[in-house]
Amino acid sequence: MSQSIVLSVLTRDRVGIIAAATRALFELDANIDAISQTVLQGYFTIILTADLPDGVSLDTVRDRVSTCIPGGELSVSIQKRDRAAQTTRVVREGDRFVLTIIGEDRPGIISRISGYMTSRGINIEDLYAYLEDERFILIGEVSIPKEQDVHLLQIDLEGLWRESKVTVRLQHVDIFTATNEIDFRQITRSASDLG
Amino acid sequence: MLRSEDIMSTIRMFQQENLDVRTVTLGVNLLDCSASDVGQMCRKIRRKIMSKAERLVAVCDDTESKYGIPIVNKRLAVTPISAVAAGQGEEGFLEVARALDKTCEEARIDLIGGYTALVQKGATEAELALLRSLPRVLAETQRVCSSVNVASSKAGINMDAVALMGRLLKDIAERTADRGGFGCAKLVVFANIPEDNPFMAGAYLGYGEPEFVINIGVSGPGVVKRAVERALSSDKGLDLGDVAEEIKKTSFRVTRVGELIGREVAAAIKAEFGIVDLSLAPTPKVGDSVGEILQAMGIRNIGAPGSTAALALLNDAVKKGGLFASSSVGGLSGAFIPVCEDCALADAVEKGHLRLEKLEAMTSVCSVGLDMVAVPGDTPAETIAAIIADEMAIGVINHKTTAVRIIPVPGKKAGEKVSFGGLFGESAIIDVPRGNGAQAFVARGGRIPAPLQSLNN
Repeated sequence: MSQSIVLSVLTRDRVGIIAAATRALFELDANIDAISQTVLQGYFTIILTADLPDGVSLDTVRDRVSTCIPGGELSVSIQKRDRAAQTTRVVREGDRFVLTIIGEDRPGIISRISGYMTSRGINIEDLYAYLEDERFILIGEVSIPKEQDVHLLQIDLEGLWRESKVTVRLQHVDIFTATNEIDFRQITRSASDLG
Repeated sequence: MLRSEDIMSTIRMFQQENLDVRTVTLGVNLLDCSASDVGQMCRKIRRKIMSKAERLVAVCDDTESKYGIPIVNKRLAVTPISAVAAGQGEEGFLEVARALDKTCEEARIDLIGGYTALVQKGATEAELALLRSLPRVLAETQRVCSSVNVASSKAGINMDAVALMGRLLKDIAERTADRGGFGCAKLVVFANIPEDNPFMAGAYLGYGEPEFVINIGVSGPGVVKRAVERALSSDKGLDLGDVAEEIKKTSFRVTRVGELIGREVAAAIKAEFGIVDLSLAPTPKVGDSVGEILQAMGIRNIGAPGSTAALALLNDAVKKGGLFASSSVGGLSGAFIPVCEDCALADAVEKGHLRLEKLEAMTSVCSVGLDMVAVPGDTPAETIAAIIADEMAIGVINHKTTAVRIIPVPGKKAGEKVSFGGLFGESAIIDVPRGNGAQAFVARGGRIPAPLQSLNN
């Protein structure tokens, strides 16, 4: 029997972090099955899932990974993984939309948008934001339950920033796939199936 | 997974570069609506159109919300009315035109095309009746658009029809003199008319088309212009081959928008999806102009030597990008150069840089022809016919669609301005030099034979 874990590391970016962390796991006979890693403004973060032999405690894994990664302050977080999480949808049935917010940078934009999304049962599945030429740009992928009326959501969203120079848009993800990816047949088939 | 740059470039096309779906055009076959009683025929036409069209605007609105893309016009294209209402006589045709106009108003449709006659080899009695009704139809109705195919590469040029169109255009202009001859803006004279064109005023539903079909016209002159400008400002060393590449990539993206919207709307109203017409269709708005693309490429004064080559590059690159994006490309699919509807072209005419002869030369390498060209009101009918004949010859010999949408503006002379409002735009009246020199040629009539299909040099 093995146990499944989910582990994350946050630290200042430098060469060798992944090599060190995965070596520690390999030496504990762990088998990694998925990784996502990103660097944001010089800070490295990784999240991975792995299978671990029974008898190895989570504290041991945390300690080995922490001591293996050389130099700099870091935080390692680990917990048991519920395998059902992979197949359980947070939103029961929904379409993926891209949320974009572009405009004047000011505190509270993300808090306001995420609060609104929560109130409508909309799950944010991917989110990134950055400043470009003094403009704040937020791009998110959200899953909107089928019963929600996108047009009404759009009206609500415009209302949230009526008084300021911020444009907010919700657009079905297919428009971005269609305009950016070579393969389009999947999308056109699904649109034709609607009828 | 989508990259943020990809998402932002798509957003920019809609929010800053005026990309929109210019038209969702629903084709409706009306052949089964014929009846000996004209009232009954009008009721059948209304019922058939409304069976799909009454949901069209609502479906387009929903699609607009879902994808965040403006859908500017919702239009209809029907079977040539000359066939549907054959046997009715001129008054009957007029009644059908009124019924079409009223039905469109009811369904909140912007324009309807298909008040059409195909007379490239000769006209039937019904087609002649339809043509005779045109001055009243185009003066009295708001939404009805007409197209007349007077030439084809297989049949040659029907010069009797060409001469008749010259006279009819004068009559239509006079009947709509209070609106600058606007009736003529709703009439296109074609060579090699396409059966699936979604753009007005030349849309109609061809005999080879299905019962109900959605054809899409996208439009992105602003997107192409910005793409060319961005490419050239980021790398001063780019040559014209690189410019063509940039246009192809942009056209690919624009075409994909059209196909996505077209398939979605077609599925929702249970019609077939037909084609995306990837024509670059300008609007009078600054930043939404085909002329500005030529300027971005380095043609400072549109109409200067080099303009035809630049337009050829643009037209070809647009087609190549679009054809890679979709297997359902059709209609006209090129760059339009409608003078009144394009601020940079209208400006070039006003300044005298762009003359009728150069405009005609440019139409030989793009779609669609002499489009929305305002000429002096006193231009003789024979001269208008001769202008049409020249343009038809370009289409027939080169096996391409060409068209003429020309407006002899009553009471106005070359250099004066005319404004039609909205998408129809405004322009200075273009001079027609040596306008009286072809009367004897036009008066001879008959048919200019079809050209060779080989020895193409």
